[in-house]
Amino acid sequence: MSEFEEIFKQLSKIAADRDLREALRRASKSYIEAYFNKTKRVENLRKVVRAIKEYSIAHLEELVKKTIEVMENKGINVYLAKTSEEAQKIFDEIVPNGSLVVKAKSLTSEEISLNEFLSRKDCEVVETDVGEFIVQHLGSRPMHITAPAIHVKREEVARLLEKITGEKIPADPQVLVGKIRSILRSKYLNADIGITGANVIDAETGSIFLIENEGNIRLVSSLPRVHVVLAGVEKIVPLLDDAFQVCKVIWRYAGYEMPSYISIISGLSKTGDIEKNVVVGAQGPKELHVVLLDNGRIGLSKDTVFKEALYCLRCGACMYLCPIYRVLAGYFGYRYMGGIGAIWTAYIAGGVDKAAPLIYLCTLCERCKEICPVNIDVPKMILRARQILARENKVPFEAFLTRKYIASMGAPYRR
Amino acid sequence: MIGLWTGCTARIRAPEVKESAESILSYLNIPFEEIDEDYCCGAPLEVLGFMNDFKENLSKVKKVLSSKKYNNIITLCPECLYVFKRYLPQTISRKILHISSYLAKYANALFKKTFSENNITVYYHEPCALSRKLQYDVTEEILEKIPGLKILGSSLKGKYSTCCGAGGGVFIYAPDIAIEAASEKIETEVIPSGAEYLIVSCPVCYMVFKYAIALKEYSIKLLYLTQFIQETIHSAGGGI
Repeated sequence: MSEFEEIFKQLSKIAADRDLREALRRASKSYIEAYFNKTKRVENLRKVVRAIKEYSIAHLEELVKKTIEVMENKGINVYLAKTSEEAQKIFDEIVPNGSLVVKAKSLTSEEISLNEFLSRKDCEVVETDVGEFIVQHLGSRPMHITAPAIHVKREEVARLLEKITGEKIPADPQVLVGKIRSILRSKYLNADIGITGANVIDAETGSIFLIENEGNIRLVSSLPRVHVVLAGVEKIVPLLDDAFQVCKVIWRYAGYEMPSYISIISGLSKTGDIEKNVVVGAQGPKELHVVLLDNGRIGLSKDTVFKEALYCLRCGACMYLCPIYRVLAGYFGYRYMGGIGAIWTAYIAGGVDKAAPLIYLCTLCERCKEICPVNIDVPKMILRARQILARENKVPFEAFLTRKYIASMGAPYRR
Repeated sequence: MIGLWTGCTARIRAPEVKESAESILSYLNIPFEEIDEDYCCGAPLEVLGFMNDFKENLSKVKKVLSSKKYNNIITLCPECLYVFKRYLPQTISRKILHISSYLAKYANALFKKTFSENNITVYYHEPCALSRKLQYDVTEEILEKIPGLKILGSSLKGKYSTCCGAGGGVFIYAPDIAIEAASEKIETEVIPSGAEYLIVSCPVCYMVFKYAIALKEYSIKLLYLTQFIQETIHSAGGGI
C-alpha cells in the first residue's frame, strides 16, 4: 500500500533530524536517571492501582452514572458527551463567542480539536502550560504527554519569544520562563473561561484531581468566572481513596517524588459568612462545568483485549523508553503518542487509517510493558490490531512480499 | 547429534554469523547438521499479523523440530526461539536452545587454552527476546570467562534493556527508521560506554547495527557472539 510508504518516508526524514534527537536526548536522560529512584517505593502500589483500573473499566457505565448523580447533587453542571462533536456542541453553549479562554494542558482537548473549534468562535485561546505555550506559538504540536515541548531546544524558545515581544532574549531557561510568566499574568486576570483536564475523578465524592508543578492549573481553575473541566470517562475511579492511590502512582511515574501542587476540586466556590446565606461563586469561579467524554471509551471498555488501553494513566513513562519514540517523538502518534497512542488513535481519536502506520511502527520490544506502572500489555494489543488490519489487507507492501517469500521459499528474504 | 536451526537472517543476510557458529561447533567437535534450509520459524508472519499463515507454517516447522534424531536443537536467532517456546509443546521446545545457552557449558573448554591477559572491552546488546521476553540470557556469563575482558555499559539491563529498533517487522518495511533507532542506541549507550566491541546474540540486531555502523561510520566493532569467540580464540593462538 503506497500510503504506508509515503508516511514511512516522511517519518524517516524526521528520524534523521539531529536537532529533534538532541532535544529528546536531553529530556530522556534526566527522566531515565530519575525513573528508578522515584518509582522504587511505589512498586507494590502498582498492583493496587492496576486492580483499581481493572475494576473501574469493567464498571465504567455504572461509574459514569454515579459520578453524574453525585456531581449534579452538588450543583455542578455535568454533561456526558458521546462523541467529539457532542463535546464541541456543549462547549459552544458554555463558552460565548469572542471569549478570552485560558487553558491548562489537556490531551483530551486535542482529541476533540477544542482549540480549533473555539478559535472559529472568535475566542482567544491561551495555552498556559509553559510547554504548551511554546508549542502553541510555534504552530507545532505537543510531542509528549507530560512534556509537550520536549522537542524544542532552548535556543528555539528564545527566538520565539523574541518574535512575540520584539525584545532581545537570551537562551537561558530562567529568563525564558520569566518572560512567559509575565505574558500570561494579564491573560489569567482578564480571562472569561478557564479550561482544564483532570488526572482522576472519583465517583464517591465527585472530586476532580489535578496534578501539576507549574501553578498554572490553580490559576486557570480559580481566577476566571467560569471553570470547565474536560475529562475522558476512563479517568473515573470508584472511591476517593482510589483516586489518591492512582495520583501517587501518576506523579511518581511522571518523575516526581511529589508534585508541587495537587488541586482537588469537589464543588462550587461558596460562602455562608454573611448571616449564613449561602452565596455561590464566593472567590473562585461562579460556574463549574464538567464535560465527561465517552467518544468510544465505553465501547472499548467492553473489548476483551483493547480495554487495557483505558488503564493508561498518562504518566508518559513508556515514551521515554520506546526505541521508536526516541527518534520520532510525537510524530510516532496522532493525538495520542507512542505504542499506547497507536491503539488510542485507532479506537478513540483518529481512526484506523491514521493508526495503521503507527501500529506497524512498534518494534514489539515490550519495554513499555515493563516500564508501565500498571503493566499495560501494549505489544499484545498491537499484535491484535495488526491481525485485524492484516485481515483487511491494510499492511505495508513489504509485509505482503514477506508472506509470499515465506510461503514459496521458506524464508522472508530473497536468497 | 545437534540440529542447527540457523534462522533466515543468519543464513541469508548474515552468512558470516552462520559460518562462525559452525566453526565453533566444529572446534568443540560437536556433530551437527543444519535443519532449517527450507524453513522459516514464522516469526515475521506472527508480528505482521498473518496468523493463519503463521499457524500453517508452524505445523511444517513442528515436523522438522520433532525429529528424534537430535538431542538438542540450537538456534542462532532469539526470535525463532521465542516462537518455539510459546507455540510448541514442551516435549519439543525443551530441547531447543539459543546458542548462548548451549555454549555456556563449554565456556571453560573454549577459553582454557593459551590466554595471556587480554585487555578487551565489550558492550553486550541484550536482545528483547532473551533479556525481556524469555528472561534467560547467559551471554554475559560466557563473555566473563574470557580473561581480561571487561563488560562495559548501560545501567538499563535485563528486562529494561533497550531495543535495537529492528523488531516487530520495522526493519522490513521502514528500515531507515529502524537504522536511526539503532544509531540512537549506539550513540547514547554503546559509544559512551567506551567499549571497543559491540557484541550481539541476535542476527536481526546484528543486521540493523551493521547498517547503522556502515552508514554513520562509527568506529565500534560489531560481532555476533560466535564471531567474537572465534576471534578471541584465534588471537590467543588457538587453531580455529
